[in-house]
Amino acid sequence: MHHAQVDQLAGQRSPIHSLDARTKLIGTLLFTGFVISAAPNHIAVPICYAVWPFAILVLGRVSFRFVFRQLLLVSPFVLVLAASNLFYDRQAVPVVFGPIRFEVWGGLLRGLSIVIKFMVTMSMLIGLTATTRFNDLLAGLGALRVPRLFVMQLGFLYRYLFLLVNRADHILQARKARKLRHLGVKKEIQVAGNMIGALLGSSIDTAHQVTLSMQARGFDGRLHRMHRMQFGWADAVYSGCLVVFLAVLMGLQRAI
Amino acid sequence: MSAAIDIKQYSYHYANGVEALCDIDLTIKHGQKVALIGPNGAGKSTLLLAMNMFIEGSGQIFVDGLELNRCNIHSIRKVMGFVVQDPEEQLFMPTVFDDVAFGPLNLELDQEEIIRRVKDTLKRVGLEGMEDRAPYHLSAGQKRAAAIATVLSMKPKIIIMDEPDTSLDPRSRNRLIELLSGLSQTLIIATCNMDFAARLCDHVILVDQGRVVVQGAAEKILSDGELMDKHGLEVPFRSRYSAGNRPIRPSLP
Amino acid sequence: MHMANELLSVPIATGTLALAGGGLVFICRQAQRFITPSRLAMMGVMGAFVFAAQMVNFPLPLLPGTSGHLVGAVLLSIILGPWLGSIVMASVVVLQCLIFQDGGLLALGCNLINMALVPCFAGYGIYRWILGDHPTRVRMYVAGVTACVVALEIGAILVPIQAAMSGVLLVPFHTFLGTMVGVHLIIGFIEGLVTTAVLAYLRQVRPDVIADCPTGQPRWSMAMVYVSLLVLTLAIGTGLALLASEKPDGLEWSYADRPDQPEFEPIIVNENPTIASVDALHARMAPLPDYTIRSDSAAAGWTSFAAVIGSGLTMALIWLVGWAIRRKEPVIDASCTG
Repeated sequence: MHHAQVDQLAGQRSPIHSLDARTKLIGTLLFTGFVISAAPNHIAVPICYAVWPFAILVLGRVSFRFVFRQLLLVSPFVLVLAASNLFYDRQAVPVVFGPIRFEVWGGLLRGLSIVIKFMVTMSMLIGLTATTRFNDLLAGLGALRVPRLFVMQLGFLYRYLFLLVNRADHILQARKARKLRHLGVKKEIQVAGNMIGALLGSSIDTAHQVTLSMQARGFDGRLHRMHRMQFGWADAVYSGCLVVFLAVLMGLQRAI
Repeated sequence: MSAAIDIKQYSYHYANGVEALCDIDLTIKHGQKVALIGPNGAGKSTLLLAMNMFIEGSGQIFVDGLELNRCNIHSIRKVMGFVVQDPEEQLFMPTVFDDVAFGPLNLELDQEEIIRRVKDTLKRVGLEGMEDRAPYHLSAGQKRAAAIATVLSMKPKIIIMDEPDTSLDPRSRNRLIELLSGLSQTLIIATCNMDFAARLCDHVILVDQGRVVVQGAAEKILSDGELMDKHGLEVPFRSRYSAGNRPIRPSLP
Repeated sequence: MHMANELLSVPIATGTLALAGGGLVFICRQAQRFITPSRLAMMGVMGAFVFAAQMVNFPLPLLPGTSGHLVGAVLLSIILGPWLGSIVMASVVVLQCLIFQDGGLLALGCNLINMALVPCFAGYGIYRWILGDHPTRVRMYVAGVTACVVALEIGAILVPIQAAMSGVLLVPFHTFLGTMVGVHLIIGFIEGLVTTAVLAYLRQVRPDVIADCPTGQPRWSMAMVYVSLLVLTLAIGTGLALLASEKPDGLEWSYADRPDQPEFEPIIVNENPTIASVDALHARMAPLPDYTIRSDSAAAGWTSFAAVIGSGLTMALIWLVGWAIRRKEPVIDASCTG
């Protein structure tokens, strides 16, 4: 399961893992903003941006096989839209790349730019979640003044994800074991509806038990929170490096 | 001194009219370790829910001398900890630390005190250094220990547990018994495992069909083979052999 | 359909992020008033349930080889009410972004609006509206299907609108819109069928869930109908307005050659005043201006060449450093499996 894998990667130890979640979160947002604001027909600049997520992934001990598999998995929608650019701009555009000169369709350039930017920003996002434990991320969100209710909700969701996904897996195995042929569409949807309904029923029972356990521990609907976050010198170094990196690439963008 | 729990003439009906508990009368003294035994569907869990006022029936329940009612339920829940059957449902926070701190946070203690309590409690249940673990990364035995820690950190006088011994292997079960017998709190444990009851508890309440059949010293009730059979239970494994016959061990090839 | 960062411009992305964030804060404040332990536990588990339910796939009609799954927004707001339902759906979208990388971080605002906030409120409003005061079985099913189709459709319409306002894609607005509407008509219909199948199951097996769901805030429900209808009208209105704007296509970018300098990359010329103003906004807001004019394309070509080579070398260096660090402390790798 993907979430379990992310969870495991995030539980490792490395210089990147030890950074404050807020630093990484805001850094990722800033970085993404810079990447997508690069000109829509530029290829070279987005490629240069890849250096940063590359560094994060290497230092954060995230395997590249994992990153590539994930990128492939989430890319179809963007790939289709990027490719559609080919139909709308077939004008030849001269491209100069050092000693090489050639002409390509403008649409190809734009599409390629979208795909490269996608790869770069997604690697950065993977670099964020694969090096930050989810509860640290939640604590970071809380410290960034995201409403408590929402942070609590995210925490619950993540915690029960592991339980219910397993349950769904068992139900799916049971269906596989008994379903020997393709049923009609109506039947299939009915079966799916029943399975989801059964899942829903057991989820509601779980929620009921959780309620008991919360109330038995004195919970009355008011959400309390503890602060356990602290910026360190590593965060300052990281932020400083990121700002310099972005400034350099901004200069490069201007120069090209 | 008042009893830990005193139940007088308590009855409860489900919404569809079926009688779940009928004329329950029982007294549990402070410091006792009580096993609530009975077959499936006897009303053990319902009785536990009633003690925590998650259901409301007729009759009176006194906890530590206070009568349960809607006004004092919050102060009574501070005295009485409740551990639900499935640790997955007891441990609902992202980390063990957050879970163990959940109760103390609701008691509105200050931060240092909470951190100290969490550390102490985790040490007590043998989960030292596991603060930052997520509950789904714990073993079944560790989950059980963490579930108990979530209640212990509130420093209750009475702890109520619903079948804490389910889905544990013998080693984890031994550890659990060791942990629980070391606690000074009054323990009320619903269980179908007679061996577990015999090893941990000094007092037994036998419940069947919503009624208290008998209550008394564990040794006496649990060794009564006829009574046990009648209510679909069994004489504990260990005491069966201690009655004279030695266990026959299959010889290993 | 998750929006990607790359299809948005910075002002649109940050603007929608602020809008979605503000909306979420407002909804959380409202929800805080009637939150109870049982509703909170229910919300958390229902969020995880949506993920689990999305694993249950089934073959789609008309499109052999593909399979569909539940989206869940309307089902959630039917069971939890629009306020709590939209919080749960928003948490699902955030988790999809963070853990499963569905949609980008900067596109989160758009995704929250398209997939959580709008479908939950609009879907719930329509469901309640059709269900009326005397719910019957047939009415419930009709309401479920209609609510799903419309809720998903509005979310889908918003995607091309946001993309067109960003101006990154070259796909003409009406083509993109048509595709999205068409695809989501099928998805929405299937969603509706599954949602009603679940509702039917619940009616039979767990009537308590639909009956005593914490939607019972009658104060809210009628107000919600109006709010949702307003959102619906606004969304569709904007879509239609954009659709109907100037011929042949109001949002199509036209390229103009620069005959004086043939080596120039084509510069985008736009005669549409809306686009021109959006463009101006980009120029002001973006940290890097789009479309810089090159003074010397050969020199720029060498610069980009050097930059790409330099980046490659840097990456190689980083990899070596990482490898060296890993080799020095082999213990850490062993401990991270736990």
